[in-house]
Amino acid sequence: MANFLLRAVGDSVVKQDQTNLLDPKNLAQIEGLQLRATKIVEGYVSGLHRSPFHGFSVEFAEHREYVPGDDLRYVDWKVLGKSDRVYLKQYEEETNLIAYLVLDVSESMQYQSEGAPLSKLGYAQTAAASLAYLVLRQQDSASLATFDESVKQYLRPSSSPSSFKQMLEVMQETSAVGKTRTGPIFHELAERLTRRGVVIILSDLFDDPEAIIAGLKHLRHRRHDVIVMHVLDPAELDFPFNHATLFKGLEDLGELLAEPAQLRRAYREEIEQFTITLRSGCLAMDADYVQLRTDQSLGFVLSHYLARRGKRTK
Amino acid sequence: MAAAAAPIVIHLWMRHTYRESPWAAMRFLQAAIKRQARRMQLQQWLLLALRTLILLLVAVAAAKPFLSDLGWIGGGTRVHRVLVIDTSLSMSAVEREDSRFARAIALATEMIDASRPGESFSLVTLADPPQVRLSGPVADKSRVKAELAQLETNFGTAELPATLALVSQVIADADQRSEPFDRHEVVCLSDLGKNTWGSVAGERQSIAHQLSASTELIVVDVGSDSAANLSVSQLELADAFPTAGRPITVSAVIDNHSADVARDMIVELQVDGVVSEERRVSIEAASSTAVSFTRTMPEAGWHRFELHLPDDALRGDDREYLVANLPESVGVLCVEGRPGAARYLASALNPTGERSGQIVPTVISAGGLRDTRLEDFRCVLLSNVGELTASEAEQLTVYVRNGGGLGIFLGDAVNVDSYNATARRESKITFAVPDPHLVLFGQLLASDVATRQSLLPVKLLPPVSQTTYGIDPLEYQHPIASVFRGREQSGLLSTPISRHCPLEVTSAEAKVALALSDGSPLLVTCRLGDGMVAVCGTAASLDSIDPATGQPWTLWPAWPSFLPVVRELVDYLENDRATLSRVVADDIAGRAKKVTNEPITVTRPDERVDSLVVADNEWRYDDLDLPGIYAVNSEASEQLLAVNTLAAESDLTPVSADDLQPGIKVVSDLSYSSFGGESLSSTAWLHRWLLYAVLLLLVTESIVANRWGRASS
Repeated sequence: MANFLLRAVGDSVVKQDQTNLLDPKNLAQIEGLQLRATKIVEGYVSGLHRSPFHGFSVEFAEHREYVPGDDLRYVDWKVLGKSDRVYLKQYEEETNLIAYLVLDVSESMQYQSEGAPLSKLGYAQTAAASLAYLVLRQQDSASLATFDESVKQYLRPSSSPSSFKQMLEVMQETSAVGKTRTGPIFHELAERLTRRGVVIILSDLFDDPEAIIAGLKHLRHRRHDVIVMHVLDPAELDFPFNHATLFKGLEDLGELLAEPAQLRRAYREEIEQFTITLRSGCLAMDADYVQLRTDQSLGFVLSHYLARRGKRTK
Repeated sequence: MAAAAAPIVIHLWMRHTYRESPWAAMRFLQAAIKRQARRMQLQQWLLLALRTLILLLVAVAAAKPFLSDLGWIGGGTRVHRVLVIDTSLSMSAVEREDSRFARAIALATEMIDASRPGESFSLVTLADPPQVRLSGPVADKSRVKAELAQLETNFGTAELPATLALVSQVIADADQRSEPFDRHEVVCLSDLGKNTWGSVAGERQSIAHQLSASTELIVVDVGSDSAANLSVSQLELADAFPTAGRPITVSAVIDNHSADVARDMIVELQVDGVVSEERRVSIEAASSTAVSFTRTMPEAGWHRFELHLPDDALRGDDREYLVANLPESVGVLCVEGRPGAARYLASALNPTGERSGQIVPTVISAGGLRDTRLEDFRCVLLSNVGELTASEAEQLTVYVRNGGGLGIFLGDAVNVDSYNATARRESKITFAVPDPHLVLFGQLLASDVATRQSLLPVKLLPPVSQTTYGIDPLEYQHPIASVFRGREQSGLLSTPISRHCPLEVTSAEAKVALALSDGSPLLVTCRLGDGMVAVCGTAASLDSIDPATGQPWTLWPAWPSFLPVVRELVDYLENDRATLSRVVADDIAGRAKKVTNEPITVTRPDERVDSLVVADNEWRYDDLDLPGIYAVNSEASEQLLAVNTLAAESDLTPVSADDLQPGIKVVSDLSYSSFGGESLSSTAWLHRWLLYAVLLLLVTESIVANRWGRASS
């Protein structure tokens, strides 16, 4: 039903210039996560020839003759070369993909600079919804966990279309007010997510990088495929302020009166060092790191990343 | 100074002019601040210092005059400026609307107003004599200006060397009185009149030597090249023996100092306060003309003559004064050593023998000299008087020193040794005050000098005979001989003189009027005190016989040249006693009876009456500062004195600045540029550089603030 609704809405809207509509500024004008997600998926991700997500391999059982429509990934090329017949490898069990969407709803995610069309939370929610929609559309399971200093809500993995609606409701009803404890949360999730899956983290990760990396390693230790989607506001990267500014820290981090011109260079170096640390940490543990600027086209970023990922996992 | 706190206030205030923004990435901001803390603090301190410095400089530039008036700050270089104001007569010349003097005062006042801290002033007048009006150095401008406002021009001249000597003394005193100055500057405001500056023009060293090397002499020319002026350079009685009841001639010389012809100028002669005669005269450019008036004064006594010219640029020299004490006749005392020895002298003086003649000779014997009141006579002639006693010598010395004339003719009765011993003795005379009770000295001579000067300017040698005849007029240089110039046939040159006493001139002031053909002096004259002495080496009568030949010493008394020589001699010895005149700023002195109780007073031209202090029978008066007629009155007598301006001061033409020595800077005004911008412009350059600094700092502040930020963290 939900799938039907999504398609109906998508068909009615996405007949126009998809690229234009998916610009963050225009996206921000679209009310509702569901509509935003369908725009993105229908506009970009659906253009991909094959899904970037798939299940994990299982034990080999037997060969089966190829029939049209079968996934070519399972063709046994050795047999084809020897006998000139197309056989598929049959496994004992082929599991469905589970995508764990881990969404940071701490207060820092509320930040939205003057030039940004969406807050980090809004952007992350849209990305999560899009990914969930994408996963569910390929009959896989999706799960949602929101956290700040603790896990706020957790929706078990489900492949039913209604779960998508439930996810949207959870995300829309979530208010970002709490502090962040990212590292411990990842440890907690690593213990709670018993079934292997793809853990997609959407957060600004404004916490101790070592603790974050330790948490991610824990997830990787549990054999999860980890994708870190680092959501940042453009102002947090560029620090474009020109006048003396009283910075009121979110998450009760106090206030700072500063002359941005004096600090710009040092600040950029600090934030760059932080992202490099995270990127390096992710690379070291074979996790994906994707930086999402809230002024960038989400569809473009997602499609670009997913296409890359698809090629890598081919 | 309070303004200097403004940057701090601004600094603090700007901390409150900020925007607010929520911020998530606080940890990175804190880390950046921690990294930048030292640098930012340094930048902020520099920015604060820059802003404070800007306002501090502005405050100093604005508050400098105020602080300097209070004397709280010094002006850097300490300059002692000696203002020398020319107060001579020529400075009162009016050109355009103001006099040169008024212009000088105005310029000096401007200069004082424009002075900066560290400058002090002294004030000296360029006059004769110069005067220190403000020794100083005085930094109080109002005091200097007040003293300046009291200055007035005088009718006298200016003595530059004496003034510069005084200035040097003022400078030396200034350095001794306080901490030595960095520089002395002598600013002389003058019209560069020829009378004052002409004497030093061309003398390259004279002025420079009077001022030290650290002293700069700046002359501010307040005159003009085109000043026109008429003046009377001479007013006198042209007659040899002016007397009452006979026509006298008043002659004057009028000078036109301008480059234009003066046409139909009305010249007015006043006699005893009444206009006597007017004359229209025209004078060519830069030339002089003589004007004479003839008038008979019926009564003997003092008479006042004034010559008036029309008013012009310099009014001070448009009137000339003359006083004359006209006798009914000129009395000459002829003293003969032998009867008849003065016969020829008396005949020469009064050929007709009339009692009412212009010159009335009185002949007495030598023995009567002591009892004769010599002051009744204008002149005393001795003829073949054998000896002079000490008292007679003293009597004659007093008479001559007080202005009388003494002529001595020798002869065979003369005891040469006695004359030399007596008459040449250095007398220490306590002068008895003769009648009249009041005698004016013509010149101020120190008493010791006057008393030590001997009566005779020559030493008499024993008489000698000669075979050659004739008199050498010595090119007619002497006034007595000058009447014979061009009259070679009048008999002077052929005067037969066969015996004479050679005269050995002993006084440096003596002048030889006539000589014999062999060159030995025959007639020697000399000034003694206020009077004149003349000694003739031969006889004035035919009674002196040469023992060798039995012939008279000379036939001169019977020769045609005798009469004019005697009359010229008397005229010369009489020494213009009828008229007394001085120039402005001269001194006069006199002698009065010790017993007199009535004070001696001087009535000035401005009607002011000054009482004189008599000390040791003498009095002095040095306040002849106005041209006009002064009357010196005592118990029973009155003497008049005419005081006139010096003719040279009437020439308003300045000397060329090129003629002055290179060390003297001549400018035409007191603008800063005239002074090379160093001293007087110091105030300006200091403020200019302060403003430059402020501008530079403002630009720097803008750049730095833009780069570092306008508020501190």
